[in-house]
Amino acid sequence: MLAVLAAVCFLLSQPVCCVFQTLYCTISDSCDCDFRPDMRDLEWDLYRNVYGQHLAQDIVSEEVASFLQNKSPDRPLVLSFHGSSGTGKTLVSSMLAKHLYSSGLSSPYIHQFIPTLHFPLPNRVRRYRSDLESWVKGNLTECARSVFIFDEMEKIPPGIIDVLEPFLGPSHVVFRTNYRKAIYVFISTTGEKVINQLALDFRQAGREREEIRLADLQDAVAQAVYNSSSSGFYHSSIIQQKLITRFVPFLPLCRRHVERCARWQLCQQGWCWRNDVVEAVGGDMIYTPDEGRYFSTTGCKAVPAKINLFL
Amino acid sequence: MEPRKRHVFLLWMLVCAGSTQAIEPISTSIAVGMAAALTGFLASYQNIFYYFHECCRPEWISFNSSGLKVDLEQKLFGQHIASRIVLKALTGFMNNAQPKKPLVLSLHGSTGTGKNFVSQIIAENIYKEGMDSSFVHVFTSELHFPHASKIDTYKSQLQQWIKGNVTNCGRSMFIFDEMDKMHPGLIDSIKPYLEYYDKVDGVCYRKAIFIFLSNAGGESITQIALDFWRAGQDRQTIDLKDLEVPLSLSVFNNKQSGLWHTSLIDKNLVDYFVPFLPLEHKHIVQCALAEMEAKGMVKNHEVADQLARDLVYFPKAERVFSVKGCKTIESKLDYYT
Repeated sequence: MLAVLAAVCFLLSQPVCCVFQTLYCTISDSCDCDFRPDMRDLEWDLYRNVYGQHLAQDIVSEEVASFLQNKSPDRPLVLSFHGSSGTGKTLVSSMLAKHLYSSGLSSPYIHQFIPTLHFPLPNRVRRYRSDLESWVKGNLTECARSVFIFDEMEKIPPGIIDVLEPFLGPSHVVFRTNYRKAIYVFISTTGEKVINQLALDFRQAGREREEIRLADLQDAVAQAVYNSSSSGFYHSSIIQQKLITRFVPFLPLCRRHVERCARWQLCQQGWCWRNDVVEAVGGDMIYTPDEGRYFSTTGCKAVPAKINLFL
Repeated sequence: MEPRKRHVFLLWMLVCAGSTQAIEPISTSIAVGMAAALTGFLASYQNIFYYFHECCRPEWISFNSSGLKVDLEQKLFGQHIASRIVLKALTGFMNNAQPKKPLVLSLHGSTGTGKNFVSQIIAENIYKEGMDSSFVHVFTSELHFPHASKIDTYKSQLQQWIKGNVTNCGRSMFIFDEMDKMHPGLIDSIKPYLEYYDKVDGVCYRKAIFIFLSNAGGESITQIALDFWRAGQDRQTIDLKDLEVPLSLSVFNNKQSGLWHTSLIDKNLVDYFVPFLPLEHKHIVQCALAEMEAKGMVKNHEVADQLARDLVYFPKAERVFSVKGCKTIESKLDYYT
């Protein structure tokens, strides 16, 4: 009789487990409940809605997929996005957040740091360092799968980011939690000169944009970031010890990408059929360099505003 | 004598009746009836309180597109570029249910050309209370941020002020006057709010409106307008493109002049750059006539003409544009009438 009961319980355990899990999630606040990674959707979003960034699309989807498959990775995932303004860095980080946690960027387990808001005064570096360390440690203890996004790294006073070095490597010990399951994203415009120059060289040599490989840029960007005094990573041990998993370069956008951005924005507002507006916006943007006029200086940033002018 | 059961019962009733308060049927039923009626009334007319006090609701904040168009055409004189851009920008922004970033307008031009006036017109056509609305906030750099030494205090105060007000009402409007006199560090401190972020520290700024007023670039705009006049071309043929390029050289790329422009324009945070052309004689006449009408006086073209002719014009040789624009016309009217 007991054996029969045990067998029935075992058979029903899967749905029973789910029921218990749902009940547990409604009561408790655990981040495992909110953590719903959807790699299919993330890839779909990346390949559909990010224009002109073949490197970023490939690197982000590969790295995140392989990182999440590993139940206990040996180091956290550290991505560093570099590129000029308007190329899609913040967009990709918000896509990542949206497809990892069901509530997206509003989730309490995703932390976004903006230097102008959170670290404004350069004479309080020591205070910011201790604050940042305790903040990160506290959040990692609460949720192993936390996501930390550091935007505008070129504005961070140097020295603050180094306090994260123990958390990014494989050797530190944090009590009670596996801190190596976290994801760190650093966003900055440092290195844009190198990236833009390479893109221009490729274009002038007549080569396709898609032929640019990460290997061409990886070292140059790391070098630029390490040596640039205006980057948060100036002479930082994080770069020296190669704690950054991948540098993700964002290439400057051409006219056809700007027009795709415009078309997407128009479709969102229900004006999909207005090709004249798309043409007008594409023609109105400012392109560099002066001879050739290949790349938009502002990426896709001024597009929604210009659309209103031509509608 | 042994008490009988019914005697005990009667005694018990007497005690109970004395200790409990008796219920008066008529007043009780009136009170209950009134409470029920009030509850029913409130349930069906939930918005009744919102009519009395300003709230962040569509009854108090709604964009009047046709009103804005009429106001810009009839009240603003001599600014064909500015009125076109302002109308299109606001219509597009307010009609968009999910804007990607807050609307940032930067109004440039010499004094008296109508920058503050335009921001008033905008406020009146969005908020029912106009400039008196509690959701419209004006910052004048010389008044609110006078001491350069206290810049750090101003920065954190400004950030908290903006954050608090946008949390309270997403459709807030912030007008920053005299931007060319503002400390660049102060401008930098509000840049994160102007960006394309979903939410900053849990607050969504995407529906807010920021308007920056400044005199920077006024000389370049005047120079271009003068060139057009000297070439004999109509003022109406001046286009935004003619103005944007020279301005980018003199103001935006000039590290000495425009302080803040370099950082805001670098990041492409300003959505629309709105230039204000200097005013000619005919526009001053229109200003004077409008002022007469506002004061309830009879419109007198001769007086208006006389008033306009007595103002100071530049350049000395051609005397094309008024130095002070339409400023001081109201007080001068008393002298001429």
